[in-house]
Amino acid sequence: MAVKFKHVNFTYSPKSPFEHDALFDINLEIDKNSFTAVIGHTGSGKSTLIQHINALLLPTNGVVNVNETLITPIRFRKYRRYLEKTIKNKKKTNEQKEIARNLLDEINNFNPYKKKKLRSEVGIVFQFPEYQLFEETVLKDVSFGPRNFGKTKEEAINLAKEALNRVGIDETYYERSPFELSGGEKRRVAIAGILAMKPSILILDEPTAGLDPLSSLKMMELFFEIYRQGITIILVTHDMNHVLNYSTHVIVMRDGKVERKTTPRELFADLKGEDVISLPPLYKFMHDLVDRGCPLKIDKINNEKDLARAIKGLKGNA
Amino acid sequence: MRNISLGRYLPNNTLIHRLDPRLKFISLIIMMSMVFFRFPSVGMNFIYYGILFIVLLILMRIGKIRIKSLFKQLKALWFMMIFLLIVNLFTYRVADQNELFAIGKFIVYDAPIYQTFYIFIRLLLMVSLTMILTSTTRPLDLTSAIEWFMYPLKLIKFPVHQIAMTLSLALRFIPLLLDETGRIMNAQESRGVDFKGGRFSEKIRAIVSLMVPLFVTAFTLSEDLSFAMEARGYDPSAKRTRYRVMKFRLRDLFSFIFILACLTGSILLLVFHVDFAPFIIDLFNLIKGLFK
Repeated sequence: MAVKFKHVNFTYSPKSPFEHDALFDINLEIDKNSFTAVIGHTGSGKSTLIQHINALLLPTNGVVNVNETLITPIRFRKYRRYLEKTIKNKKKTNEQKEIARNLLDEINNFNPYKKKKLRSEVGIVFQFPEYQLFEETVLKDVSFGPRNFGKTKEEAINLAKEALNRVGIDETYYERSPFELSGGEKRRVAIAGILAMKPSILILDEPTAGLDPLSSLKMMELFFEIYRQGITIILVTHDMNHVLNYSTHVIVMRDGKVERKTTPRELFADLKGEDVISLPPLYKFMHDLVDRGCPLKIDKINNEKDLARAIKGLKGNA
Repeated sequence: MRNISLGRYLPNNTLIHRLDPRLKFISLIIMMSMVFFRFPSVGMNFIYYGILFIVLLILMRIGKIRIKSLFKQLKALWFMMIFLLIVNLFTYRVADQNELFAIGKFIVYDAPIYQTFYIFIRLLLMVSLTMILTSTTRPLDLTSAIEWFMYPLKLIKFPVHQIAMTLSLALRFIPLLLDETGRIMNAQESRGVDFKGGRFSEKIRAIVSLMVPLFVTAFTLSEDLSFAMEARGYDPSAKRTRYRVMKFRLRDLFSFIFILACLTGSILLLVFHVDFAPFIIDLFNLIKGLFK
């Protein structure tokens, strides 16, 4: 298990006029070496969810288990004491005690997280990552991450070169200022900055927003390649085609809750577009066919070829 | 750094929110000057500041501002006050001061302690007054008020409107830049930057990694904004009407009279050297006698 959420609640600026609940009782497991897509409307809690994975946000209640270490709302021992008290407290409902018991189970089996280590293991590419560039040269900027995690200068530069090579930025760019690059190049340099940290979990928050279709496709191919090398990928996206083509699992968020966790094919076979932003064209077409009385078995069809074959079969029967 | 709530506008519909921003601005200046009144006797000073503080708490109550939030933000002041107290103990000398105690050859007088306390309470009062203004008045209304006050300067061809527009744009950018700061901090923290701890050289690097992208964003944002304004035909020298027209109502008049009454009262107390302190001590003794 790469990531496990247990009874996670999160409230923005608690006890202030701007208080706002963002997550409600999230229970979730994300497997190692999986490609998980997170979808949902704006404000459904996707970004809040992913920021818990590298402890940028601490849960208001509940625990997050990342690579067998635990992220707790307050200091580990204090939280354990708090949970023990909750179980003994007569005023709490049985439900609350059950949750506390569950959490205590988790706490007794794992160790607290170490911030630096966690941050080096979980890389987050935020939306429009080009805004995080700041060094004088591309190479320096990409090696910034590894340097922060205690790599020597040479090691960091080697890692940076490798990462830049991966995103398709060649040597001629190394000594240029990141600010004079084009938008797409900046994006790739920023992503290289995360890849150079060699994370075991890579989180991508709409990495293709604002890119042209071809660069977007190339970018997704790159992430898929990284996934195949054994890195867990969590992708927040609005593009259902990406969900269908690349992800192994999909999490649907709605109003701060996980509505369902399933595989993309199951999701698109079940839904007719009212819950997700839009169906991929293949599934839209199939649903339209079924609606007009065509007896297709959507869950058996995986791609356009299958569909063509199925339709051909139908013709024979008619 | 991420949740600066001191003085942020809190949308509400209280009496203070509905007052004319011009009146609120003038009142702020009057009340701030009242904070600096100083009476000859120590006791009277304390009573005066106490009264001001109570008035302030009532105002905050009416404006639905959480008093707790103020004290939370003032925690940082303690350090400054202790520093100031130490400096004052060594440097501040007046004629009528009493010896409190002595540490070796160094004599501690009461005057510097009072002085430090005055500074503390004045700062507290001024910060809270400003907070009342900014949390009950929309930034845009505030700039309209400032523009109105600068109106006479138009006679000497001072670009009042342009200045006001610059001001309101600057104010508009504060929340944007705060958001952006949060976003960049998140991104850099994910790259291993530690904004809280670390050695001095690491701290410098952390700040650079925040400031450079912030500047870049600020420039991009302002460029976008200027294009957007031009695209909608903004002309700085053109005559403009207002979306929100400021009106001086009856409640504004009464508030103004109240503030003026407070000011006059304080001035009278000051001019006639009124000292409530002995009276209060007598009263206190009287009550104590009653209970015996």
